[in-house]
Amino acid sequence: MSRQISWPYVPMMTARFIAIEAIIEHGERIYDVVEEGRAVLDTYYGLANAIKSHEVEGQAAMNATLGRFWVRVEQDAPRTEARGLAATLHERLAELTARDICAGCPAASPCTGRDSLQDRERLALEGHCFAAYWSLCNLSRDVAVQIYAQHNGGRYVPPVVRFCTEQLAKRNTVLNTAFSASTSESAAEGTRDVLIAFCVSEFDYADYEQMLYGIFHECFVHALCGVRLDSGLAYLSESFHEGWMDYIAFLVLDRHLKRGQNLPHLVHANLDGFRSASTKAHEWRTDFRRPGCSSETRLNAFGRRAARAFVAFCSALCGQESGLDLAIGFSVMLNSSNISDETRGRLVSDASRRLVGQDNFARALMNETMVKALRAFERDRDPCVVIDGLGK
Amino acid sequence: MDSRAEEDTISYVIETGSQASFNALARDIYQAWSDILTPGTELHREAEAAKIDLSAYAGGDQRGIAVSKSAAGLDHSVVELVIAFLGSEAARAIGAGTKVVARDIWKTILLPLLQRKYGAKVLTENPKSRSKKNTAADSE
Repeated sequence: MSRQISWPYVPMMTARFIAIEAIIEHGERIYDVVEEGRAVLDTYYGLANAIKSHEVEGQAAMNATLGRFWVRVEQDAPRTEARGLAATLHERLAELTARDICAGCPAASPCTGRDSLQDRERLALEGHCFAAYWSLCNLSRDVAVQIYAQHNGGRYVPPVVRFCTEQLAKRNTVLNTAFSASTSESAAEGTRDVLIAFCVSEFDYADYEQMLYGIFHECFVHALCGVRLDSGLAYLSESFHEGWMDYIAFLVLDRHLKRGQNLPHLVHANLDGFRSASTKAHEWRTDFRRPGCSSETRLNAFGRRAARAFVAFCSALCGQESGLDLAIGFSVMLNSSNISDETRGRLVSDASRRLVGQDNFARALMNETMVKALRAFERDRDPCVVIDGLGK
Repeated sequence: MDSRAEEDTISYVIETGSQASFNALARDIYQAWSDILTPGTELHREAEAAKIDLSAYAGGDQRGIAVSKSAAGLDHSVVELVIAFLGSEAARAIGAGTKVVARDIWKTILLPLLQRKYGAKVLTENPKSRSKKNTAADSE
């Protein structure tokens, strides 16, 4: 069973997902609904942070808990006092909170709040109360696996990706978000665990928007990676995974969102919001000009700069769309291979040396070895020829 | 079976906001390890002064410790630095307590070195993460 957040936080987080859904459904009018609905939301979130499990005979613990919570919200922020979009928001919150959430759950029986192991097992089965979270997880995994399969061919077998949840004690200052994201080797063979830890008391719609990028990064960069994540040599490939592959992941996600197909309804309703949140999160972790940024940020920026130059190199030789496809294909084939951490790190240094800067870039376009290497990759799909070409 | 299961490990949370990254720390640790085994270096002298027996590693370039991450991810705030004590080939061959020296080097030389460079709180040990009791492993 995958690791999951403990019960006391589940209704709190579900209440937050409900508010996030009610906000994000407004798409381009998110700003208006948040502004006009500020008083309702402040009351709602304040009470959500104080939710305690509640039992009513014949009712699922989640439904009973949220039912009591909503009674309190209505007491402190009555519907009659809300106007305009605030009233619309209030009504939607009432409707979503009153839903029989557990009725749509894949688990055979609802959580009780009294059996932590079984409650966690139910949540791990993609418990309906966290549907907003699972939808981003499934989207991220499906898109990542689809891209890897497309470039690796029919025999590609991806690792199993499990999604875990946890509580985060305080806001994540490194990402400037109310969540953190990581991926680790699972005890189960051929499996990777993607863990999202929520700072429950602060998690809001802007974090939810950025979380898509976070989960996609974990799936695309780490969960499908061909070398062990806990290797003693992992430090040699940091610039490749956190800089280069992160940039490629960002481009892939953005392209998928731009196409606007096969998306969960909340993402579809707010495409621009998710695209800008993804840009914001990606820029934040590579913004080496920010005062006090960590040395990780500088390393991320170094890797991204090399990847950008490589994408530009491919595009200059093959045209914009085909060049991007080629760069993505090269990156995912390399990442899913067992090519060593050392070689991955060296690729970033070589690409920086050969492609970054106007003069280097112009020389590279005239360099027969490098051009031939890229053409050979285009034909044979062997990433080693590009690695060798850049290294010469 | 994964050989990692038999290793001793200690995990550390890297201080957020410090200039120490997993990458920088791993490079520093491996470089310092190499210096310790190189006669004439400051760290080698420091190890001798601390009466650490380096003979198990004499003449070799093997690492008695490995530095890895508990996970990979968007940021290091949730990723722990894991030190695995591997022992030495020589000690393993004669069935000696393989990991004592590596742990001594870590505690006496390497960890203080990192603390001097990045600050005393750069690494906070996660007590739950110890994969084996030191005493049990050392007496093997």
